[in-house]
Amino acid sequence: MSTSQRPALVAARRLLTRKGALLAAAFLVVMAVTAFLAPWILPGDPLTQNLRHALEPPSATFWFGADELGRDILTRVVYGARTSLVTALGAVTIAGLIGVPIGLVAGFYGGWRDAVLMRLVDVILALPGILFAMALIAVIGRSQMAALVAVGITGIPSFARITRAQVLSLRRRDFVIAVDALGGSAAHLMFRTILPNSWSPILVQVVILAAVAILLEAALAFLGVGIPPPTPSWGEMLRTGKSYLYEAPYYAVLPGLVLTLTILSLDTLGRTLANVLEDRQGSTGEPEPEGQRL
Amino acid sequence: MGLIKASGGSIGFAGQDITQLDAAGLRAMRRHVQYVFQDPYASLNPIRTVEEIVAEPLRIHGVYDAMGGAARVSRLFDLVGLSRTMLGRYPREFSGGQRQRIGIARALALEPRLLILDEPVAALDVSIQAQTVNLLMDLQAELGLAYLFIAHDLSVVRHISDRVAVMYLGRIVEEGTRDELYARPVHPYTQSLLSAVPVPEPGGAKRRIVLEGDIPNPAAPPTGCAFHPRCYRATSRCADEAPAFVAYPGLATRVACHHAGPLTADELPAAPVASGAMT
Repeated sequence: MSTSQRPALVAARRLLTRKGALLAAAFLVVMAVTAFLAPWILPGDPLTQNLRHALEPPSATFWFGADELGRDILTRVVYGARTSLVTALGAVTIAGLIGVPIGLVAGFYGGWRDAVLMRLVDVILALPGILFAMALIAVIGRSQMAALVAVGITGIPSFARITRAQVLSLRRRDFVIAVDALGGSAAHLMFRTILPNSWSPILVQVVILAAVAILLEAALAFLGVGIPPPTPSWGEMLRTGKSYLYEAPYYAVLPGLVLTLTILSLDTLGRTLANVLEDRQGSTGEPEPEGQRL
Repeated sequence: MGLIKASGGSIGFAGQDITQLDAAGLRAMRRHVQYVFQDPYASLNPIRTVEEIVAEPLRIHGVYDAMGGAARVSRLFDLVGLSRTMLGRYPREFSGGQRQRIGIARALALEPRLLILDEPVAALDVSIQAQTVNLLMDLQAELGLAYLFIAHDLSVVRHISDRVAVMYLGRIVEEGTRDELYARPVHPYTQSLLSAVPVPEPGGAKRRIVLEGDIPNPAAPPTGCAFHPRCYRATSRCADEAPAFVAYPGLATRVACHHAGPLTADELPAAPVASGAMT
């Protein structure tokens, strides 16, 4: 025990020694990098139409075939990843920035603040996510921003509840009481003492919500209320591909496969992360915080 | 410390009653009164380095630079006998005794006038207990601060204290100078406690007063004197009337008992039990 490493580094290293998590992380990194560098590494443009090649089967030119407007499916899937990632990132940011402070304040102060904030959260929780998202999009119109905000809002309750549970258990721990006894202010206690000790379950939630966000965005696009065409989106490609299931069965294969693998990877990563972080807590001999397994 | 709201009475510190203080007054008071926790494993933030932990009180009160910053933290480490090379480590890399030293360094950071030590050695091994208690005594001699040392180990109490107060069910039943109280206890509870201290002598004669019954619920203490159901001197008066906490004539001791007085020979169990059979 002579090395002094930041606990986060220790957890990260342990995470990547698990085969499943390593594979999942590798897939996500490759996908993200490819999506980010798409304009430089792909020869084509996702919007260029070439009707002569409409619904062309896989070939040397079109590795995964061409769509009904002669656009390269591979290129569109890669650009579709951008849509998915931006939605996931934006939605998680919105949900976290609103949900975490709600949970922090509700759990720290308790009383009427807790009651009011958590009932508001319950209201969001009571609405089915996809219905809420569709209603919101119906009001503000179809756009990348609308999909992102809609998915983000449905993610607020999980962040608020997980953070609140964390705060409730940490609030009674000696090292938090110690800072209180030192004269630390409420803000100091919440943001310098409690929140930095709450990252593990919040981080797990980030990964899981990213998967939910991507899936929800794809579902909205599949239903025709997501991001408007011609912006490539996996859900939109599945929706169109479904119409050509007989003429071009290869159409929906790649978008479906990539979507599945992405969700699977995020889910694996999230679950392994939860595992690893729990192990870490166990090995230090600290009592396991309640609500950790929410 | 104002962590739990007082249900009654007053707590005086430096001439003011701290139960009446507002948030700002409490914050100011906390600069002068510091607290060392019982459990050294739970009282240090696991994700901060010990340097950050010891510096935290300085930062909270905005005096980190004024009191010497990193140099001050290093000096505190010297003071409690920890190596400066350990500054960047995390609490989980330390043993219980070392962690308690870190807790003490944190409590000393603001140069408090009073240190409240809540069973600071109860969670430690006996050999580490001795080291820690001696460290506390050295620090007191060096820094000239007052301790309020809460403990159940009577040998430790005798070693470190100047004055001793004995509590039963949340009330002080006897209070006096250490030597007086250990030599001539006048409250029956104190007498029974002291008779339970092990004699460090193999086969040494041991006359132990064994109290009957269990400790009552502190939330609903017995009527009159809270100790009367278990007391060998109890009379009907004890059940009806709570004794006042008054000076005991002839001694520098204050006591709350209707029948206070030195232990008489016939109150001790006559024949000591063979030490092998004692539990």
